[in-house]
Amino acid sequence: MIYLPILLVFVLYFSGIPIAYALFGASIVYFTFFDAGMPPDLVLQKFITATASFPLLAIPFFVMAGSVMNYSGISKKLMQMAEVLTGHLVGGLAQVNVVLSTFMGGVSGSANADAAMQSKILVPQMEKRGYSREFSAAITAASSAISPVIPPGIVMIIYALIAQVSVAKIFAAGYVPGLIMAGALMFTVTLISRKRQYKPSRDKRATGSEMAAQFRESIWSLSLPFGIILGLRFGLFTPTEAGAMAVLASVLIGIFVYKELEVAHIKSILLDTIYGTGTVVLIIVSASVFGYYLNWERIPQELTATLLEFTSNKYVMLAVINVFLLIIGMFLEGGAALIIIAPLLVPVVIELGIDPIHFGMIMIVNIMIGGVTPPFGSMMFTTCSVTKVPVGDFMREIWPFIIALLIALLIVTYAPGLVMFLPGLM
Amino acid sequence: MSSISPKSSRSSAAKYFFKNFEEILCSVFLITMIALVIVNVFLRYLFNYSIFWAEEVATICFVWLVFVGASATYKHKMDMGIDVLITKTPQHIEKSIRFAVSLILLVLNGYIFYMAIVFTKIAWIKPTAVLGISSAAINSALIVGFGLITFHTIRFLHRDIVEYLNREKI
Repeated sequence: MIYLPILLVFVLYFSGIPIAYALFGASIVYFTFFDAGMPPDLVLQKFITATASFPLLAIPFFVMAGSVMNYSGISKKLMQMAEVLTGHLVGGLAQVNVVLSTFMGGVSGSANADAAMQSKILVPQMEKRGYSREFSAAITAASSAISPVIPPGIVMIIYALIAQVSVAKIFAAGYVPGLIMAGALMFTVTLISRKRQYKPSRDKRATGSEMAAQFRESIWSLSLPFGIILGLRFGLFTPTEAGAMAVLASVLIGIFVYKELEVAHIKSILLDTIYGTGTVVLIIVSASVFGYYLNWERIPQELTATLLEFTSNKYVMLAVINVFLLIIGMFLEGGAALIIIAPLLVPVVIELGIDPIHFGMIMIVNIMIGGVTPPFGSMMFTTCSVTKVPVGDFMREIWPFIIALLIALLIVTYAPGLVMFLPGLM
Repeated sequence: MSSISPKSSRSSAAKYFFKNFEEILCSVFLITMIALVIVNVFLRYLFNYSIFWAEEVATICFVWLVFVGASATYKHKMDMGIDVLITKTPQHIEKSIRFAVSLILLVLNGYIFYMAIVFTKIAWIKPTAVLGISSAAINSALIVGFGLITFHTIRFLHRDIVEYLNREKI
């Protein structure tokens, strides 16, 4: 009986009700009909306390910073940089696609935004150079999984708030996993491109001076994330303030350095931010109301006990959790999955002596893989709908990349030393 | 533009305002919020001073941004959900499920709207932590947000019913 609200969430969600409303609905049914210990209108108090929290303001600010950077020419500079770095490799544009996602992680930090942007810009170019559209869509979706792992990212901020770990440390922890994912994808691109004879996009490797020139032009875009991390590390500002300063910095870069930001862009930037905030924060609020029911029934404690009874070996546990998360990630959008699952699992892993920052990276990488995996991966849908590639054809091309990302996940899971090296320096 | 008479341009402006009501309201909150946070950082480093109410007002703006913004995404059906499963069912079943879903959403959102009114009334006398104003300044965001969401739910439901009745006639 006490598990009925959980079942209800699934029923509502699979009949097409957005996840936030499914969670609200199940929680309200519970507090109205099951548990008379709390007057139902006091549930509304939970809506407010979950929302009225200053740290959460970081979310709209970083969403806005990402949007401003897109309009201020920063993305374009990053693409030129990616091209100069990897255009000469086999499968040139596909490599550029991966490297651009890695750079974009420092800008947008949202996998869906990255997938949509590259589907629009890079996929048509790739097609022109003889790549099949299915392959182009697959590598675009797969590489978009890197962006949220490279700091700064909204998903990382959300995890830091849930697990109560330092935002600066979780940001620093993202670089190595992000680079491992990029490496795994680039290796796979090379193998496939050799077989299919996908050509480089530039005739020869860029010269040192060419690279230096491009680097000077892109330095503003590349250094912004470091500025944010250092500001956080030295306590110059809180994560929320860092988000606001990132907006300010990218507006200034857009106006005075790249001179591409215009008054006409304001409307689009505001809309991006409002819609981005509306969807994400509402899920956070609904998950926190639902979490109230879970805690009321002591379900997280029971789950912890059951899992620990099953195994107390942390490597086995991580394997079990990874499989569980991969399945969840196939059905739920990444941010939503993280918001709902992290509060349940973080106590379990802490009990086993796993660093919550390391675990955060495992969760984020894992859930992003779910986002490119059929049947419901959200980046898969974004890419397929923008490029008009049928999901069936997409599936035939995506599997080598999913295997590559899974190998990256294995490394991230079982080599904590690699992940924790940078945050350890802070 | 010159061909439009003042009266019709005023009515089209009003139409634009109502169509984008949530977005306009949210923009105001968003800009206020970010301005307060940025100004406070500069005041702290330049003048060693901070506006003591900035954090609270920014947070109130955020609450409004979230719930009114939720109505904006609801209006455009942007919220994350999956309908792949029900589109796989035969058409008449899909139609009935969609209708049932609209009804559930109506009951849910209407109920939250109603409870938001009750709750705001109960908590009226409770002051906010810093400014000491009535907590209704925060809580009424729920009334406005879910009021608008309920309004859109009714609008969608009305459209579905009209569509359904027209189909019957043919």
